[in-house]
Amino acid sequence: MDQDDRAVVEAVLNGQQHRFADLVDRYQSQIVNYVCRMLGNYEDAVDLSQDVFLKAYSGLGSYRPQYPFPAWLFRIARNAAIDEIRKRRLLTVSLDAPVEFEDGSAGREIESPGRDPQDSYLGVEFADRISLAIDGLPEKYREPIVLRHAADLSYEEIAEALELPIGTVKTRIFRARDALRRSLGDLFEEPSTDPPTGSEVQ
Amino acid sequence: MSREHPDRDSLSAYLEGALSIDATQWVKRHLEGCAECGGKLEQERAFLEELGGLHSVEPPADFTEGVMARVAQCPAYRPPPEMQWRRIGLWVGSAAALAVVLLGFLGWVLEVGAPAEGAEVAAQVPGWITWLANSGLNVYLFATDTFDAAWRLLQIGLSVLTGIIGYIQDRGLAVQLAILLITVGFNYWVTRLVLSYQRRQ
Repeated sequence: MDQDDRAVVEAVLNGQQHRFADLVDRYQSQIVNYVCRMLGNYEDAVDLSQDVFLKAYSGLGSYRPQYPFPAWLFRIARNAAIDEIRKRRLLTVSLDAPVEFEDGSAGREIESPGRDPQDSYLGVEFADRISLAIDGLPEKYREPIVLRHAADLSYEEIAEALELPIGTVKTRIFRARDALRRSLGDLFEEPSTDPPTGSEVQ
Repeated sequence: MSREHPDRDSLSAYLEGALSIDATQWVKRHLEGCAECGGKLEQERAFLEELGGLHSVEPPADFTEGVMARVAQCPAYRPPPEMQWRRIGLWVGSAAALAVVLLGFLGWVLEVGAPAEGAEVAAQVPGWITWLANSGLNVYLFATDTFDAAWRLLQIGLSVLTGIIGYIQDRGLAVQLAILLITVGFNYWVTRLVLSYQRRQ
């Protein structure tokens, strides 16, 4: 853990509440990027990221200094994002199901699939393709690659945050990159002679 | 990584600085003489740069203010009396007390500042009782791990009191004043020492 983080945490725990702003300043960009990638919506990501920092503040008493602070923080962010995704799944209804009104039922109006202006942060078409490719990855590959490239965590920090051996983290990230290369084939894929494998190297 | 050429994962790990020292050296040496792998390395670099574009959003400018406004509604943390510090306080306090007791005892035995022969003694409080009282106070204050301003003031006030009791013993004004200053100074110094050590941890 960064010595600086430890000093700030200690100061906050010793009553200097305002010092928590240092940690927010330091990690807000990484957290917002990670949550944004997990939820796929900027405004929701900002709101949830604020909740993450608030939870981190409330739980700071349970934080152990021997543990890397970013990993601890990202674990909170991860749990919050997973809860949010689950909540949304529960709210998901069939698009074909008619909506009941007092005066009868009517078809459901579906929002245009065009990108929300708030979501236009990626802007460029190629970045959109990477985004889509990442969204299409299985969860176990998607999460480490998002933590690596959207949140800029090191392999060690990802391993701590996901509570996985570092070898597994590396393997998943390499596999995810392979899958992304295949999705973005025309630019980054080279003819592969490697046979597909189903097991992970620990 | 094959013996002939590093594979793509190795090249990407090489670019990220995630290879072992030996593997890094091997890849580096290999790249110096292999144009084909040099090309792959550049391709891999471009790919990683594109992935770096995933870190593409910035929080709003008032993000920190928003969080801190909500944090301000939560109670600030108060340092709990840690057992660790209580132990350290006990040891330091005990050491201080022992030092004071020994010094006082030595002064009493050697009759430092004893009244001149034939002089009237105003009170019969032996010097070691004064020192012992002060020592007990030290132990109590350090062991209870209470270092806020009020307790420090009380500590210094009680030290002054013990100094005054020592003065009643009529061992001479200069000596009693010196004892008073040493007692107060010693208490203050030990307290500061413990506090600064606590802050550094």
